[in-house]
Formats: sequence, structure tokens, C-alpha cells
Amino acid sequence: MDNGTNAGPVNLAKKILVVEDEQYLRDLYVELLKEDGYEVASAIDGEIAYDLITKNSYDLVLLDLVMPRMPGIALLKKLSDQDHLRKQKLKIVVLTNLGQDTVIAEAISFGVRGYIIKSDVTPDKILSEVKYYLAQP
Amino acid sequence: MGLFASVVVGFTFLINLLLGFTAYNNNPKSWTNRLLAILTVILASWTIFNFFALLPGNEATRLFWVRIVMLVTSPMGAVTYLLASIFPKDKFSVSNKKLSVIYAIVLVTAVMSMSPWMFTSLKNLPNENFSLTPGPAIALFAVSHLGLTTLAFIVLIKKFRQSKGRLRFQFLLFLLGNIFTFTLITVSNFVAVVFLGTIQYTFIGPTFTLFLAGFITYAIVKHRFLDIRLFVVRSVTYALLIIVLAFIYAYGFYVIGQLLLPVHSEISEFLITTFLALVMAFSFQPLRRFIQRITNNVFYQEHYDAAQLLGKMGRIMATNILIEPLTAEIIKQLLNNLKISRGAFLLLKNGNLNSKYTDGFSGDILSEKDLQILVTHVSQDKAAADGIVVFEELAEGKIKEVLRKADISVVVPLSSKKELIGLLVLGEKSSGNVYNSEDINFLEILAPELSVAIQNSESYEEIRKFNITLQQEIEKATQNLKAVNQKLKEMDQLKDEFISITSHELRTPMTAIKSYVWMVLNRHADTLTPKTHEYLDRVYKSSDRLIRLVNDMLNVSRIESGRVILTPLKFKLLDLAEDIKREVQARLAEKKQTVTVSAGDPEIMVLADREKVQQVFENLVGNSMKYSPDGSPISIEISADKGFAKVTVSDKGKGIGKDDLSKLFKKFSRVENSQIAPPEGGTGLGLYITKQFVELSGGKIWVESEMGKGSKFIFSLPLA
Repeated sequence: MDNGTNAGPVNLAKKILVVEDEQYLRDLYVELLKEDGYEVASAIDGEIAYDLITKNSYDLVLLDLVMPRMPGIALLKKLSDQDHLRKQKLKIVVLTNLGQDTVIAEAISFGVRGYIIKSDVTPDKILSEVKYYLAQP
Repeated sequence: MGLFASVVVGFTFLINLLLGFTAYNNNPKSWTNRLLAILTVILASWTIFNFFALLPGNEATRLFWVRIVMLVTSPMGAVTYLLASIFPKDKFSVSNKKLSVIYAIVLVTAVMSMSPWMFTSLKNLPNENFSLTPGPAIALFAVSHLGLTTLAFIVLIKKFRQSKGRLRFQFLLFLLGNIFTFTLITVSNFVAVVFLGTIQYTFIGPTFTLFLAGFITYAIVKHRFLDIRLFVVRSVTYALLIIVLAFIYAYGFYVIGQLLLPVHSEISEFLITTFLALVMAFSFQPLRRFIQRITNNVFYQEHYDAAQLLGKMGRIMATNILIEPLTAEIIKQLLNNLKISRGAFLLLKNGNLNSKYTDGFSGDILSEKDLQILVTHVSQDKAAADGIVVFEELAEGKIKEVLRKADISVVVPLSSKKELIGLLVLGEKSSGNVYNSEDINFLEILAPELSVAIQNSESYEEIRKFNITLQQEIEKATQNLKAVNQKLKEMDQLKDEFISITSHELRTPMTAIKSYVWMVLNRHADTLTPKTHEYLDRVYKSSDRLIRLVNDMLNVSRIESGRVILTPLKFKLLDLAEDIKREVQARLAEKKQTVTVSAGDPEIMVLADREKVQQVFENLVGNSMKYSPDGSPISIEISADKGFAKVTVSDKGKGIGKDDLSKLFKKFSRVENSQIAPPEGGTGLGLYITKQFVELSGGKIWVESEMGKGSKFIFSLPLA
């Protein structure tokens, strides 16, 4: 919200970070969100994401949990330790797969806003979710 | 010298001949038997000629008979000596040199007997007595006779001392026969003649030879000794008694007679006789007891109370069930009471040695081959009812050889139900004596009882061993099962991991396929021909189905391994229902179906894992859509009752048959024929997973359906 200069239904100003190690999915999400008018950055693992998060500010982070270098939970823990989550009031939505109940539960304990099960949703649905979370206070 | 004397002489004569005949007939080839026969003939002749000599007659006739007596008795010493030398062997084994000397002596004595050199003259005396005038050859007779007899004694005593068992007893009998015969003859033919000056008892002398002939015959012929033992013991007792009393009487009469010599009269003789009669009357019983005790001590040193011992054995058998203490105790008692040197139980199984319990025997006791010989013999031994094999009673042969080699004196077969279960083998008696009838009888009575006890014990042992084996087997099996179980657990875990990893790896590319196809169909549809649009639509649906399939598999795997973790949150059921409705909108439109959501109270909240409940909704609504005809309505009704929210998903499909209702919620259950099989199919896991999720969330699920009237799936969840 801090850089939400243009209020209203236009999403141009909204900055979204996609953290996803799978190239095809990452490309898909980035393209989809860009087409919808968002400003999108992407990271292929937790470490890059951490750099980006600490240097920029984002309205929403779509965070994959299973990644080779610094998985999602590790990133969340690091951000939590550095107090970024609270300071930036960062909105994080977890991208996940079915069967990762424990990890999801752990992510929720770090205060993520919600989770999207990748395989279960259509691109449409992702967009509506993003819209839903961005609209939240 | 009247009828009585004639009867006694006749009796003695006949018995002697009878004994000789019996001995000879028993084994005509045996020199022992032959010599004994010869001896009895000599004794019989002596008896009869002695009697003739004593008959009243003129001096010449009497002298002739005396000479005949001397003639027939001249080989007596020699025969006795030869008999003692070879007794009890069959073979004649006296050196020729020795034999020549003996022959010479006998020949000379015999020749002399008929000449005046032996007895010069005979003179009749009053009372039918006579006196003899001996010649110089009488010395030869005395020397040859006494010398050879003494030699026979020495040989017998030596043999007796060196022998044991039955042989020992045989020698003892021989010796006793000799001793009694000589002692008694001394009394009747010497003491009476010298001290009493009468020959009126001389005719009895030869009668006492019956002791000698009888004892020796018995020693050769008879097998077992108890019965004769008693007879012998009593004979010995009374013979000794008579001898002692005779001495007392004779000596008493002589001494008192000497003292009262000056007043020798009818009265004094009467007094003496009366006095001695009284002494004898009063001393008879104590003397008898005393002598009996001595003889019993000699003959029955090993005496034991059979009944008492049997009782004791019975108690041992009743109180010992384990084979080892049982056999040990039985052997101990047998050895102690019967005075046996050693004993052993050889227990058989299928005719082979199974186990062995021994006291005193060393090593294997019997070789395998010898044991087999013995077992065969015992099994076939139908002659002896008791089946007990006594070494001493066996004829020379294989069995005797086997027993001799093993130092076994007695073998008691132990049988149960006609089957030979073992042998009780006993060594010789510690005293060197032979097993008597009492011992054998005792063992005969003991054997069946012992057989039963041992078999019980063996059975018990078998059961005990079987139990132990069984326990070991069970333990082994348990260990195996544990190992297998552990392995299965590991494999199960591996399977879960495999499914988890595989499903993850599968889903990522499938999600990409599905998403990109979606992009084409929804964002770039204008580039497609109707045909490619239709094809890609099918690709989309198939990939979606594939993802659901993988998800279902994963869910089942997680449910069954208990790895489903619920994250319960409060949420409004109505919101979720509306979401579902929105989600399926596109598919509804395709089939022209409608979904209506209604709630008794729009604010109904539940505490549950939203994602799981969402899957429940998706499954139920998806099923309704799948199995209902185009254009039919589907409804979701939400209500609350007694702490539970209730969701009813109804359709107007064909309904489900009763048979299918029961298996509806089972894994891989596909309802047959009740519905039109939809092209997209299913995994057969949907309702199973649905049920599991509902129940894990603390709710219940059930179905109400009627053929032709549609179905109602109802589930409950705890209210928040």
C-alpha cells in the first residue's frame, strides 16, 4: 500500500513477486499477471527472493514452498527473523501442492495470508485469488 | 539190625544209583557227570556190601564181605579227587603222569584189599559185633584214601575261593557234601565204634554218602538255587544240630560214665541217661536257633525283604516323573539291597539304543552289534515266561559271550504292550554269589511296573522336549514375523515416500500442461479452429483428470499411513458452497445443469480444515453432476442441528441400487450399471477419500437414494 500511488481498480502500480523454481510455471504466472497489468518480478529460489524482498517492496509475494535452494519455509523463517514480515506488512500467499499439510501449517504459523494449490487451480483462479488478497487490508 | 536197617540200606543204595543215573543222563559226554556216576556206584556198592558184612554170619563170610567193601571203596578217594579236579568241566583234563600214579595206587590197594595184607582175620564177638585184625596194607589204604580225599578238599577250597557266582555255589555244594558225609560217617563209624564200642550204627554210615552224591548232583544238574538253598540251609542246620547233640550225648555219657565208674549200675545208667535227655531237651531249641542263625548268616548274607523293597520301589516310581532321577534311584536301590556291583538301564527306541542310565558300568556297556544280538534274543525268548536272562543259566554260546564281554550277569527286559522298550542290565553280585530265585522273582515282579514307570517318564520327557522345541519354534517364528513386519513397515514407508515424491514430480509438469492448455483455450481461442479447440479441450480435461487421479492416490496413501494433518479453521459453510458453485459454473453450463445453494442460517460456521471440506464438496457436487442427466438440477442445502452442521447434496440422477449403497464408500468401488458411465470416468477413490476426510474432521457421511428418484449425500461437521 505504501507505493500504491494510483488507487482504484487499475493494478498497474501493484508490484508482485513470483518465487517459483519451475521455469514453465514461473513464466506462466509472470505472463498472466503482466497481461493483467501488474508489475511483476520473479525469483527462482529463496535466496534471490530474499535479496529482492529486502531491496524492494512488493504488494504481494507468491511463494512456492518446494525449491532447491532455500525452500519457502526457510525464506519465511529468515524474513521472520529479520522482522521483515512485520515491518513491511508483506502479504505472502503460498503456492503449493497437495500433500504438504505440515509445510502449509508451518507457513501459516509465519503469518502467510493464504495458500493456492497449484495443480487444482486454473490461471483464472490464480488471478482472482491475487485480486482477492490484494484487496485485503 | 532188622527191618529198619534193611530199609535204610536199600533206600541209600537206590538213591545213590538214582542220583548217579540222573547225573549221567543229564550230560553223558561230560566227565564230571561220568565221574559222579562212578562215585555213586561205588557208594551204592559200599552201602550194600557193608550191610552184608554186618549181617550175622560165620567169620569167613564176614571177612569176605569186609574185603569186598575194601575192594569197592579203594577207588573212592581217587574218584573223589579226579571229580574235584575237573569239576564242573566236561573235559577230562588230568595229566597222564598224575593219572598213572593214581591208577597204580588204586590198583595196588584193590589187589591188597582181597589179600590178608589188608585184614588178616575177623573174629565174631557177642551182640553180632566183630573185631578185625588189620594187616600192613591197611596203612596203604588209609594213606591213599585220606590223602586223595584231602587233596580233593584242597582243590575244592582253592577253586571255591577263586570262583564267583554260580560256580562258587557249585563248589560250595561239593564241599559241603564232602564235609557232611565225612563228619557224619566219622560219628557213626568211628565215634560210635570207639567210644560206645558198638557197630550197631555202622550200617548208617553209607547213608550219609547221600549228602555227597546229592549235593554234587544238584550242583551239576540244577539251574536256579533258591529252593534248594532253603533245603540246603535246613539240611545243614539239622545236620549240625544232630552232630552237636550226638557229641554232647556221647561225650557226656562217656565223661559221666567214667566219673561214676565205681558205682556202675542200672540206676546210675538210668540217671545219666535221664540227665542227658533233659540237657538235650532244654538245649535243643537254643541250639537250633543258634545254629540256624549261623547258617543263615552264611547263606543269606544278602537277605532283603522283597515285599518291603517292592513297596519302596513303587514309591520311587510314583514320586519321580523325570527319567534321570527315576532310573538313578531305582538302580541305587537295586544295587544297595540286592548287593549288586553295577546296573544300567538301556532304553530303546525302535529297537535302537535311545538313552542310557548307568551306575558302575563304564563306556558303552554293549557295542551296537552286541546290543542288537541281545535285543533279538530277548525279543525271541519265548521259552522263559519272564524273559529274564541269567548269565549263569545260559548254555555256552553267542549270548553268553556277549554278556561275559560286557560283565553282565542279568538282563531284565522291560516291555510295554508287548513292545521292548528297554533292558535293565545288572552286573554280578558284590559278594560273588549267584543271583538266586528270590532275586529273579523280585526282578520279575518289578519289571512290568518299572516298564510302565519308565514309559510314563519317557512320554513326559518327550512332551517336555516337544514343548521346548515348540516354544523355540514359536520364538523363531515370532522373530521372523517381527523381521518381516519390520520389513513390511519399511516397505510401506518407502511406498508412501515413493507415492509422495512421484505424485509431486508428476503434478508439476501436469500442472504446466493443464495451465498452458487453459491459456490457449481461454486467452488465444481465436487462433483455434473448432476442431483444434475440441481436441485441446479434451487434452485439458484429460490432464485435469490425471491430476485428480494422482491427488486421489496420494490422499489414499496419506490417509492409510495416518499422515493426513488437519489444519482446522473457522469458516462459513455458505461461503465455501458458493465458491464451489462458482468453480463448477463452466462445467454446469456445458451440461445445462444448475446448482442451487440454500442455508437455513447463512451464518453457520464450522471448525474444520477448509481445504479438506472443499474437496468433500467438490467430490460430492462433481459426482452429482457426473451421474445426473443433462439439464437436471443439483442442490446444496446447509442446516444445523445438535452441534453439527449438515450439508445435503441432492441430484435427480438414476439413483443407486441397494446392493451398491453398502460398498459405495469403499476403496475402488465403482457403482455398476446404476449410472451412465461418464466419459471422464473416475478413480473409484473419490467417495472413500470423502468419507475419510469427513470422519477425520469429526463428522459423518451417509447416502439416501432410491432407484429412479435421485440420490442425497449428506455429511455433518462439528459446529464452530
